[in-house]
Amino acid sequence: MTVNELLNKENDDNTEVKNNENDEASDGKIVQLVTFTLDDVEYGVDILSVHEILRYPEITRLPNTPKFIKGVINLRGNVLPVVDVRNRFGFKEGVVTDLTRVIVIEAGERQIGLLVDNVSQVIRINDSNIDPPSILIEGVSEAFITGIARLKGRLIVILSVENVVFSDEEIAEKQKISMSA
Amino acid sequence: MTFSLGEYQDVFLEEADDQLQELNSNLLQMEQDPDNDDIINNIFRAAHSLKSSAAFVGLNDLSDLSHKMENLLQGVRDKTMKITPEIINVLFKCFDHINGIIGKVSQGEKPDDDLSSIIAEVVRISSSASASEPVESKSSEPAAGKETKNKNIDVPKTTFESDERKHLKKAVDSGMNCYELSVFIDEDAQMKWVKAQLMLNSLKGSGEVIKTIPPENMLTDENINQCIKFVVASNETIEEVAKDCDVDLVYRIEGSQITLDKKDGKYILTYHAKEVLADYTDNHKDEKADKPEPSVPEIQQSVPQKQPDKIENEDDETDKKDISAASLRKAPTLRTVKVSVDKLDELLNNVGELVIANSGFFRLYEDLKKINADKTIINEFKNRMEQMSRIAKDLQSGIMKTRMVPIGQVFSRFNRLVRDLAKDSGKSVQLITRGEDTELDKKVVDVIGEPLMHMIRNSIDHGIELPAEREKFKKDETATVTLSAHQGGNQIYVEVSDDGKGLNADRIRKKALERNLVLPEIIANMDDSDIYEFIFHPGFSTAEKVTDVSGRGVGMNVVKEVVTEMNGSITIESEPGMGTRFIMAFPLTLAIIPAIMVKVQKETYAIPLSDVIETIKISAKDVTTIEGHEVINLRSEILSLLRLDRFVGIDADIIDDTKIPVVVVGYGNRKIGLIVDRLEGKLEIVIKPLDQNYKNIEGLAGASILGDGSISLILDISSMMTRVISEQEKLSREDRRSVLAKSSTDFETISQKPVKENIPSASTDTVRTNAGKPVISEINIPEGVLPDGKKNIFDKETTPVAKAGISNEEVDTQVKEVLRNFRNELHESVAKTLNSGDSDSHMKKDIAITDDQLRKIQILANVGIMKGAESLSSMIGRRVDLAIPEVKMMPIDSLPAKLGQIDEIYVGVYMPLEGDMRGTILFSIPEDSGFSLIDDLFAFGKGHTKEFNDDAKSSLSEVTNIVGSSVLNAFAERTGLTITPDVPTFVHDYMQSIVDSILVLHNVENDYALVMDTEFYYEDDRVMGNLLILPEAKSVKYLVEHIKE
Repeated sequence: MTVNELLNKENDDNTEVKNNENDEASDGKIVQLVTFTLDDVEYGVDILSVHEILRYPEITRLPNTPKFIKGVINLRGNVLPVVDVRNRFGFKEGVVTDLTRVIVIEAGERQIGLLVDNVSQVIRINDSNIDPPSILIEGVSEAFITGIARLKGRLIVILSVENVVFSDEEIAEKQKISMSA
Repeated sequence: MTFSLGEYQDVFLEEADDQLQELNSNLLQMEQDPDNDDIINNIFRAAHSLKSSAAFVGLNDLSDLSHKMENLLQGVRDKTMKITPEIINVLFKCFDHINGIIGKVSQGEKPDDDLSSIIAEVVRISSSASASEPVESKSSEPAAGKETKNKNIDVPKTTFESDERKHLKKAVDSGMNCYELSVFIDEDAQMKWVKAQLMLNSLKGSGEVIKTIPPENMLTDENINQCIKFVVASNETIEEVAKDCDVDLVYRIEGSQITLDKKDGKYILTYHAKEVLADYTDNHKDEKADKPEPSVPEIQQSVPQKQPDKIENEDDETDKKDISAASLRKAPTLRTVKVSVDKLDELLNNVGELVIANSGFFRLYEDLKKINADKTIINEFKNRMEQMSRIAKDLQSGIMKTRMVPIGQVFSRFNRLVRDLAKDSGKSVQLITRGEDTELDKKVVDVIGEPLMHMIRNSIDHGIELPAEREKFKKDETATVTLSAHQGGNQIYVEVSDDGKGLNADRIRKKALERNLVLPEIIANMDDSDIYEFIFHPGFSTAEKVTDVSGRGVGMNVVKEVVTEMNGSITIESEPGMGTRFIMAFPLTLAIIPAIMVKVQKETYAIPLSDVIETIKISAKDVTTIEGHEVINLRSEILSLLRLDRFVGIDADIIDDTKIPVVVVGYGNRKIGLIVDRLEGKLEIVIKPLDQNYKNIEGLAGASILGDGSISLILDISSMMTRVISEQEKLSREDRRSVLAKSSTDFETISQKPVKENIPSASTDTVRTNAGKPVISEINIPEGVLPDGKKNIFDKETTPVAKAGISNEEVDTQVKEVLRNFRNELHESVAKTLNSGDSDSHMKKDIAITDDQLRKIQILANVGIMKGAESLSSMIGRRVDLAIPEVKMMPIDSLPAKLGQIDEIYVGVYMPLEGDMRGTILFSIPEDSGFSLIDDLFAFGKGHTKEFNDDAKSSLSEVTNIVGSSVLNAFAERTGLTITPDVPTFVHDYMQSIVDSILVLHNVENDYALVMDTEFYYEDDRVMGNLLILPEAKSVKYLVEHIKE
């Protein structure tokens, strides 16, 4: 599924929502988020950092790496790591389905894949509706979160992709948790 | 034929163009922002580089101009002059000239521009600009040293001929001033006559030149001593005139005014007091950092001076020229393009994709064939497809080649370094470079400079002796450092060697122990080549004093790191008193490497072929577990095993009743065996670093995309080995007694097969085993895939359970017993190695030969080999010396190393022995000694023979035959046995191969053999060759029994 398809989908599904948002605060900046759901919590990443979205690709396991590194994939000759977001957040392992996707993120010079259960939609949201990450989301460390978006009663956790992959303290912490569990 | 500057033309043009661009843009900026030091420095640097590169390709005029520019800029940089529009303008003019020259060269024309006028202009401006900004109190008085220097110079006296006198009078009468100038040129200066001519031309521009000493038509280098005198009439002041003479390498200008007084109706010439108009005595020697800060001309106020208006007609002339130069100014057409390596990599990436995408068409073709469509279309499709695949592959190799650059450009940098270091350390050293055309991956060439520098520094600072010391050892007073590069197989070898005193293995040993880098019992078993490895440790230095060149122990560590980073390896060879050689080996290209593909379950891993020593198959029962490590006895060497499945964290797929594939990999001097599930064959792979998108992972060198688009991870053997070795060392450092407490089953294997003394292993693992030789079946790795067919399952628990009938206590006691024996033996062996150096006693025991018998053989060998030397000497008509023959038991493995440099080419003639004594006689000669031996035999001149033709081969065989027969005759005489040599065989190969070919003939029952070996020397102490007698074990005993007292 391409980003454009998602955008179209968004236009079909959320015309009402979009209008509401625009009416609510027309002075703020509009942010577009690609969202996905894990265990009933909605997460979002800034669409500007999304390179593309892939169906579940062939993933090559990478030995001697933390568990949440699912492996590496070949994206047109580019070898990039895939982070199992479920594992990273300490959730129980998911099942690969037809909906399973890899969101390819551009973080600086690097490209990273995020393995998620599904990609729901692209939403537009005014940045005045984004709060700093003060609300602690269950199981997800604060370091991974750049903000919480409110949209018609929905809460969307906005992820800091770079930290999801590279924050080493978090890796250590998470591993401790998963080991004791 | 077009004009060319030789092989470096392209490089020069490219560089010069870059530098010119930089100069132009920076100068423009400087015009706007004259006080910005960075800009000035940039300009200065570019001018400097331009000077060097111009001189390098032989464009001396251009180099000279750049040098003058540099001088001018130096003044600006040092703030002794102000930037004036005049300076900027003249610099731009210079650039135009340079551009013109570059343009001409790039079009294949000879650059014949006359640069003298622009050079003169730059000189004039640099001196006038500095003069207008007086530097305080600089050299108001010449220092005493300068005076003494001048004393030695023969300053010619000025005398005038009558016509010159008339000329002088006329000039004075017309109101001009008359000066006598003495110009002192550095005595080392090249082409003094050019400089003199330059001065003369400038002087003619500012006035009339009445006289020159030496005369104008005799201004040749032979005639010009350090001083040139000019008598000039001019309207300008003496300082202005003196500036005309202020060219490169003039270190002092003196001048005095001459007046014409009328006295008693006669004209009398009066020389006024001499003034120093310029003096660079302090720095005139220092060519490179030439800092012409012209001293303030000392003006004696008492001398009446006219201040004529400046006449600058010369300037107008050059202006005109420059306009035409500027109109010609255009970017030179270059035949090279600079491309960033990143762009190339990207291209390579895409081409790789193209190759992979193309493989999709093959599938499509197969499908099409099945559909049974129109045959002509299918065939057309196939043709196109194959064409495309070929093009893609050509593209791939083409791009790969663009990354290769010759190493010569790196080598050439070191001439200067060697010269400077040698000078500083008071040693005489010459640098020889070989194989400059050898091409290496650009990445390697970019980084290899630093390691080379460190090695060269080390060689000169530590390796090479002072001349006096060298003389004592009868070595050539001038030491040699050699830089060489060559290609061998898919590796590029870069070597740095010196003929200095070699590494001191004992001192390194001592230091390694002091620094606790290794346990004493381990170091005792390490041979010298292992010992040398210690110098790569960070902070390791045996230097007693730290010099500013080396001794801190940083350099060699850097070397190792850089080499490792470039997937290379480094080895050291050193011979005490003879010199040291560092050999670096790099893969041909870093972008694509051949690799062996292996499988663990369904995962494919690639092992770079450069790290692979061999692939073998072993059976599970040959694996012995010692202290938790699995090892096998591979040709009497302990080989640690590492299960790749465990390393990558999955379970393997092998059954224990099949042969287990093991890839023996080596890094540095260490080896391990990697147990894999299956071997999949050899493949060329493109390395994609993992840190591009993620980070580096221990044990992995990167990833590679295979033909079907799947990813295979590339193993990083060096980091795997480091991990394995550090784990092993951790174990061996732990108190070995704690091993006793361990569960007995671990040692079951040992207790069943008591540990027997084995040959000392070079590995750091001191554990010995004699678990029987594993069945080794060498397999050739085919080009394609090697399917293994069956699925194998290997029981991961290799540790056998204690056999029934033996109680645990019994096993425990057995284990203790065995370990105690083992430790005792170890200590014994260590002590022996340390004390006596007689490490071969156990070998004697094996062959069942007593010391007494060995001595007898020694005597026999002495007599025999003496006879051999005699006949050799009479044959070549020169005295032949020989070393006392060594009669020794030694492991056959170490034979090649004993006889010579393993990786050097030798000539060998061997003859099997027949009769009562069986064995082989080998006469081995280093290749070049072989040539000179032929020269001697045929009485050719030295260096005549360059190859071994049939005549040469048969005569060398004959030599061996004669020498060998005399040895054997002596043996026969003393023993009464019949020993006859068989037909000699000529071999021309590496020492290892020569010895191997003998061992094939030889019936080797033991891993060691009795060797009788001596070295022959020419009368001038050069090594001629080695004579080796290798009897079969049984024959040795037989021989001994028959020796007559």
